[in-house]
Amino acid sequence: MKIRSMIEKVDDVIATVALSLIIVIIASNVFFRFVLSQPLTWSEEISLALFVWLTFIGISSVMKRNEHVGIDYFIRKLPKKWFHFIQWLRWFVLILVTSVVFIYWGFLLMIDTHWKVTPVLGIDFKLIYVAIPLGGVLALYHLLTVAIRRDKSWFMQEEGAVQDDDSSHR
Amino acid sequence: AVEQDVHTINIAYGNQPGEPLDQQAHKWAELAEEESDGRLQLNVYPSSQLGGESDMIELAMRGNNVIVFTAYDFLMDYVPDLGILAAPYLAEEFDDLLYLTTTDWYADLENDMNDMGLALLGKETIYGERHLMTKTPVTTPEDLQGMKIRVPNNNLYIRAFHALGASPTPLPLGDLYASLQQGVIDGAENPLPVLQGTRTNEVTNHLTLTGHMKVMSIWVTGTGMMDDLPEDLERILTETSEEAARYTHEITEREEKEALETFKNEGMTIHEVDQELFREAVEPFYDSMPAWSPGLYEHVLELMEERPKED
Amino acid sequence: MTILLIVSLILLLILLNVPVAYAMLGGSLLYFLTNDSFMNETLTQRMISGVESFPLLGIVFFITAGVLMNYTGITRRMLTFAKLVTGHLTGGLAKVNVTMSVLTGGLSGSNVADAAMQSKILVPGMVKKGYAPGFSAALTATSSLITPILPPGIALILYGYVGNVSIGDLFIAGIIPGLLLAVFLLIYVHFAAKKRGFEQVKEERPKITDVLVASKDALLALLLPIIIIGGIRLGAFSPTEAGAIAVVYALIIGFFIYREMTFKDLWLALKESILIIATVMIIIAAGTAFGWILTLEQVPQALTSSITSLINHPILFLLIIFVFLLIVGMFIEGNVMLIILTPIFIPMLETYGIDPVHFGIFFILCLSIGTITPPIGTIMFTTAAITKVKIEVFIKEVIPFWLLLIVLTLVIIFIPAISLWLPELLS
Ligand code: NA
Ligand code: NA
Repeated sequence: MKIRSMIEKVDDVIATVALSLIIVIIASNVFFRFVLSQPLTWSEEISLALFVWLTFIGISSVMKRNEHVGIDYFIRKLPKKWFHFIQWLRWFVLILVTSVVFIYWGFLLMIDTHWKVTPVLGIDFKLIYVAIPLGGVLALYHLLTVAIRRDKSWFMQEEGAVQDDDSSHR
Repeated sequence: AVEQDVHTINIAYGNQPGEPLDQQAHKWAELAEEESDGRLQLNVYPSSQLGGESDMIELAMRGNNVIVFTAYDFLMDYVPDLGILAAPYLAEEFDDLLYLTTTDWYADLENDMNDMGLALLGKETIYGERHLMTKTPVTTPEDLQGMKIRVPNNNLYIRAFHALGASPTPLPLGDLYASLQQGVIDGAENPLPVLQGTRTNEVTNHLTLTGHMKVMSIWVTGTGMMDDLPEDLERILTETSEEAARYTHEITEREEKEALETFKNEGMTIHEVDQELFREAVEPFYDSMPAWSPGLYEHVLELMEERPKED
Repeated sequence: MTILLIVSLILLLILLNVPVAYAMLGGSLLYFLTNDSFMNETLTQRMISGVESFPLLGIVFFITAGVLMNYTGITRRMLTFAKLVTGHLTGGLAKVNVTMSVLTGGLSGSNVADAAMQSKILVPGMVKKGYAPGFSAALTATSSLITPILPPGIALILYGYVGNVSIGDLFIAGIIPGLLLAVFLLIYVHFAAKKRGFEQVKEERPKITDVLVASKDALLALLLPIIIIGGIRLGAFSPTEAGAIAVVYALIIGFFIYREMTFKDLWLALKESILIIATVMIIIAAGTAFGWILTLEQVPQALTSSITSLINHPILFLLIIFVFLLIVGMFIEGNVMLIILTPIFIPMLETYGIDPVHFGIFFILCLSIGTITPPIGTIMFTTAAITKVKIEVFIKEVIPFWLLLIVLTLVIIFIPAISLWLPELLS
């Protein structure tokens, strides 16, 4: 039980910590450069590595809340039965892309980078790219649990249940 | 029937359309198509459209269908000794450098590249002679002391300009103009047509003809992709790559002259300097490349001595 | 596999409510499976290449700064200030609504966040004072379009990054067009409020001392855009670092000056930020990968040569692109269009002698119009949903605003100096 609640939250925690670290590192670099005339040579590569983690783990956080930007305008005009069917189709596409692009190909990309390290600190790129399959596995977990629970907010045509279309140039 | 198949190959580079290298790529595509009776089709992608140099080399190495334009300083990451071909004041003339690519020494390094999955094409490509453009006059190495000079983000350039006493500042080429404008850096270096292309002459006043590096360039692709080609096409691709490279020599030279002419006409102060002074100042550089084999510099100098002179 | 089939599949998936990013990845997945020139995991590599970039890190910071505004007490003080400055005028609250977007626009880079926040804190008050709910919602939606044009802006960063255009120049170029939009709106709401008799009971003209106190309170927040623009212009820091400074500045104000923020607030604000960041970044990553496929298939190259051979006048080119973007903008998400279309447009600009900075402002304004246009306007949906205004009512009320934006865009097209004068002056 405890492990399950940990898995449920781990994406939010990782992404938030990554964001906090990015802020601290880039702000410190400005300080070091201005006040101490001694820029941190590693600040860029570390913050970019954390950016990859923030993005690909964050994708799971968004999946958990079913908030990825999409358009439900047209299918909302359809009869309930059709709507229900298309929501399952949508769920299937999400599973497919998550499993193949993020988990499988992400894993292949990660093991292919055996010789690549970052220029200053020599961090193994495996440690950076592992965020992709990991984020994929977490997203897949959320996708499977909503199916097992037959989560109404995913598959039923209820007002406000399907995501609000809510993003543009943010 | 297999012999009639059309093989499409993707060529990727960071240079802009119209630059000599872009003309070379198009010439190559034309020659390859002609000589293979249309069985080789080369699609060209300028301006880093398919991605950055290192990403593309990585793709090539894993056997994807792509040929990438790069330089020997970049290939140092794979086979360190190759970097010396881009070292400052190494050769008197380009023919010395071109001769080096025909030696056994080079063949050994090429084998090392092949072992890593990378094949070399267009070995006779000349990128140009690099000169220095600055805001304040530079006529001797002393003038360079502490000046912030933009260099490519590469160890070889950084160490070379350290040796000259400058403060090398690696920046993307795209940030060059704004950085000079805002006073983040004091100068830049590159072949003249590139300095013109990046409008460096608009934000600096002095051109010093240091000729600090003669840069040969090279196309790389995966050995995997080469092996997949029928033997005759592999031969045609290799031969036409050199043909296209030779075709561009004249264009490069002409564009360098034209750029210099433009700079003169626009009122830029041009300093013809004693390059010997800079050559002496850069000497410590040759001891500061830890990845190189011992005695590499001396060996390469010897090899160039052995070049049969034509007349 | 022809590229046309892939594009159709992606559009179909989008219509079927598959999230935009996953629709693009689904189509790209099929492309790689049926193409043997490149290994499959190249798709994932291209996705990462769309994330691993220092300029785009600026997006992370300006999203976070925008979210923090609501947690630090900055928003509340800006509102007090805006009310004191414009609240007593004809159509006072409508003008407050516009002024608020200008004030928050200097800190935040996202119009959706701006529209959502103001729908919550301004529209109920406007309705109470006699404004038509549809008008209030339409005004909130339209004025939120000031945010992405006024620096800092996520769209400006994205366009600058993809098109290799100076983000600092774009930031400065957006100032006058952003303010011009505000002026257009202030004039329009003035006459609309008069004609329709909104807000009969006016606020009293504020005492000068009140204005001074509120100004002092808001000053700290108003100082930030000046620090950001000044610092970038002087070359003291990059736009990305400016973003980090904005975040730290907001935190200092929240924790030490206004002393309203707690660590719990901070955690909530960061969590809210990561969701927005990830939603935007996956679209950028997927768009980069799909854009790469289009390039490999030589789609931009073919479009460039056919368009430049058909159209030979720059103004005509801009007008045709304008109509094209208005139509496409009704259906496709703005960030996707920025990623896919910027590499297509940039090479054409040279042919027509159009400054890429000028074009960028025009481009982003066009995309903004699409967000308040049916059938798929993201800002329209957001404001209508929060204010509980029916879409039909919203559409009727938004028409004059829409015309206003068309006029503004034409002005921007015909007078490049509006975008270019300030960057040239400051360079
Ligand atoms: Na507003
Ligand atoms: Na803004």
